[in-house]
Amino acid sequence: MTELSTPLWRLLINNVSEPGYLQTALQFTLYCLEEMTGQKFEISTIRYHETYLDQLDQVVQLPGLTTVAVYLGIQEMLKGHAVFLLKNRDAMRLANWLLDEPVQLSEELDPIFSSALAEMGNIMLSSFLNAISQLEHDAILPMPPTVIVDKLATVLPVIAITVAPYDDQVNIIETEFKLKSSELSLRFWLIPDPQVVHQLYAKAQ
Amino acid sequence: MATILIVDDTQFMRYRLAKLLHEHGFQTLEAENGEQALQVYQANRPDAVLMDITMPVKDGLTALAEIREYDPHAGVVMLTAVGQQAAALQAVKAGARDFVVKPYKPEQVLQAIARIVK
Repeated sequence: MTELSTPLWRLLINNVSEPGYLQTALQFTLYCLEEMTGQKFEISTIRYHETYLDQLDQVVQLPGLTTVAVYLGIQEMLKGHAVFLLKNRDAMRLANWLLDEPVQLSEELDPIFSSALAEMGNIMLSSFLNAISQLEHDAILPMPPTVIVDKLATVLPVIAITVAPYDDQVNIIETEFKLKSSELSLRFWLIPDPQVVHQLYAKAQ
Repeated sequence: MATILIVDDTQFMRYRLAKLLHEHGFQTLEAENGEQALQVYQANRPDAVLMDITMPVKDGLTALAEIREYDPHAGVVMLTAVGQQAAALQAVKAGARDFVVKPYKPEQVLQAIARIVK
């Protein structure tokens, strides 16, 4: 982990409620989402959660739904994790726009739809990290995406084990992108690596 | 009818680019990585290549060098994610004709191809 990782995460967390790096970078992410889908979205919510892993479902508040999660790791200066979460129905609609053809609603995503959602997550996260990189004059890289499709009650433990294998707490910067013309929403979680969280707490004390 | 080789490890990107190119009268070939790209290029001698930079097995920069070594006149356009512009510029110095940044606009891809396939 580079020395910049902890202060950069702290900066982003501080930016949740005020204009700064985070909100600037999220505008690039929003732009990419709109370019890829051809739809108009808005950032409806930016918030910060500190929660225990077994209470993640309370953060999501949709435990029974089949959900699509796109997971990406983040290396270098912003060591951590990124997760895009959306309802299965919304994932199908997004895939429809990305592929520019009708997509059948089903419980399982076809490989081409999974590939489309993974690439969407990859491009959106890359644009976010690139914006942060420009501000910090250094490179931050996303790791290849993994798409998980299952009921949220199944998805969340997988995310928990991935993001904090040795800890029971998780910190999340959550941004919600909402389609302007309907209820579709895409949640974007940025999660600092647990090691970063420990340093954040250590420096705060 | 001109033939374009699409090289990208993402099935979605290959699908979307192929669809765009078919709609504009091109034939397409596909490869999932740089190693396959060289094999498909040698077997088919396409009119142009659209190639991602970051791929497993063999990346786009390495494949570009090998394709150019095999055919110094090969017309290659690099596809790159935001934040990889430095690698794209490196590719142009190594002989790529152009680069397109994802998320791309369809006309950007078509214009880059049109500059090679006249």
